[in-house]
Amino acid sequence: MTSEPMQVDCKEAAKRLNELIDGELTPEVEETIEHHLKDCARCMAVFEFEEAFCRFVKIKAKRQTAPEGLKERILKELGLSGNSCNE
Amino acid sequence: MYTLILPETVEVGPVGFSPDEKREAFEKEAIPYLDTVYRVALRLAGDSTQADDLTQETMLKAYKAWHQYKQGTNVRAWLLTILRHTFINEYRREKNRGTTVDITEFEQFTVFHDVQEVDPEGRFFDRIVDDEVLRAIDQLPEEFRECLVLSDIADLSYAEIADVMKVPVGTVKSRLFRARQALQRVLYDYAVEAGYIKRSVR
Repeated sequence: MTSEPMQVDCKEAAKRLNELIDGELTPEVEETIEHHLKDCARCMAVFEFEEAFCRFVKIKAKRQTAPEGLKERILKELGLSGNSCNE
Repeated sequence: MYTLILPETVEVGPVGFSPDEKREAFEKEAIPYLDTVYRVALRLAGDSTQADDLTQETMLKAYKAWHQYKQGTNVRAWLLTILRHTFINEYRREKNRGTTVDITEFEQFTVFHDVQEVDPEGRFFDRIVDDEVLRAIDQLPEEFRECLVLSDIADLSYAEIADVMKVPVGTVKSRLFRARQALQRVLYDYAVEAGYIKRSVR
């Protein structure tokens, strides 16, 4: 069955941007918001800005790794070899 | 729900699991997330000595309780539930963590409106060094910081964060939204002060 996607205004779209970035919307709502973004250059610009910001935070906040000494201590305590320490 | 009934004594493992199999499974499934556990521990505890201890205790408890981990569920969420439980019960003190931003003071508007004329793509953010970003995250009030860290460092879904924090999904959504807005604002102000971008007059 094909039907026209539901319409949303800029205010509603703005409220859903985080969920869209995080992949938390249902496929129907996602389609509705994406449809709005395609038609609204301003909302699309805000979305791209927010998405870039989230990506930036994730990259910067994930660079630290556990100190080698700590890893060794934990593995030793558990009697493990440590062959799978990298994500 | 990630239920957590941590044993007082060392468990030898689930029925049907030999100690070798338990070791192998833990090494394969839980150990790869040691860095994630450490990163989250660091943001919760606020100092590296406590983060070391918290990480070690979390991994040891997880190993003892491995029989409680439900295969096929998100092992990161399970480890972080143990981490948070341990932090709240044994590490959290009413100590001064330094300045915490008052999140209610922040306007509920994206920084985009301030920078749309000069840098609509937010390239100025890339000039901010890692330590400054981590410092800004650490300034967020705990419940907002936890949400942001579980989402953006540990990549948990809203439902998983809700389970770990024992709050409704709606609360996760609103805290995460406000945490990101506040973080954006703190980093924007920093970028202005550092001369990475000129403050616009709205």
